[in-house]
Amino acid sequence: MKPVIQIDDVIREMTDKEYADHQAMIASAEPVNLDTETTQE
Amino acid sequence: MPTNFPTSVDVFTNPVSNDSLNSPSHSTQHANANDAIEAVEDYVLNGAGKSGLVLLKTQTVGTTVASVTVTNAFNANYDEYKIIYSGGVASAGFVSMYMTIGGINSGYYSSGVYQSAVSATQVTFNAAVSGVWFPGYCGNQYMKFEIDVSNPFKVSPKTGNGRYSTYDNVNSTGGTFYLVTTSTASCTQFALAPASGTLTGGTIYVYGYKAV
Repeated sequence: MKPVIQIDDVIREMTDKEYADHQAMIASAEPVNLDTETTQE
Repeated sequence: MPTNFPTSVDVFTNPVSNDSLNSPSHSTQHANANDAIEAVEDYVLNGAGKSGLVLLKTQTVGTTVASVTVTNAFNANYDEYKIIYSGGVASAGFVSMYMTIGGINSGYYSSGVYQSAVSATQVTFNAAVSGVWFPGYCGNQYMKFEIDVSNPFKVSPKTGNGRYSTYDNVNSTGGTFYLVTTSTASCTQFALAPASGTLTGGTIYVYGYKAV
């Protein structure tokens, strides 16, 4: 079953294209470059 | 008689029982009343004549949705917007929140700093997240995002900034962020989505900054 999305008040299962777009959006999110350097004394 | 609203209270001529329909004019009575009603509706619904923050849209978030799209959020009347999402929870803790505007699917950049509630260490992030904005992390007990967006409707590059805070049984965090997209496309809607899992509940408020 594909994920459920909400568009305004309408909640429904993703279409095939929306699912592909959603997967592409998630995949496009490159790893976040976290710098854990402490900036406080 | 043009309405004085919202500058001052209108003074209408009320007909009395023996007046004829032409004195005061029956049609003028209706025209005056209609003008005043329309002015009040324009004021309440569109913010006509108001300055400051105008609530443009409220959207309640459903249950276990992978994304929430808010349509007709941006229009030609405003360049600056404040988006607040508060009260919702994510299905998993400490998961990235993603945001998209309109149909833009590339050219998003985000940077910021967040801090855990149980740590004095500030963590910076600099994300060339090409397909989405990254305004912070979701919370699985509570979260609030305040996202100011500039020029989403205007044919212009878009920027954003703001702050977020969460209550989370994995890692409660709060932080500030800066967002930019190089796209100049005119957009009327935006979407929020967790990087994985779903969102449940809470309300999204969209405000416009109105100068006049």
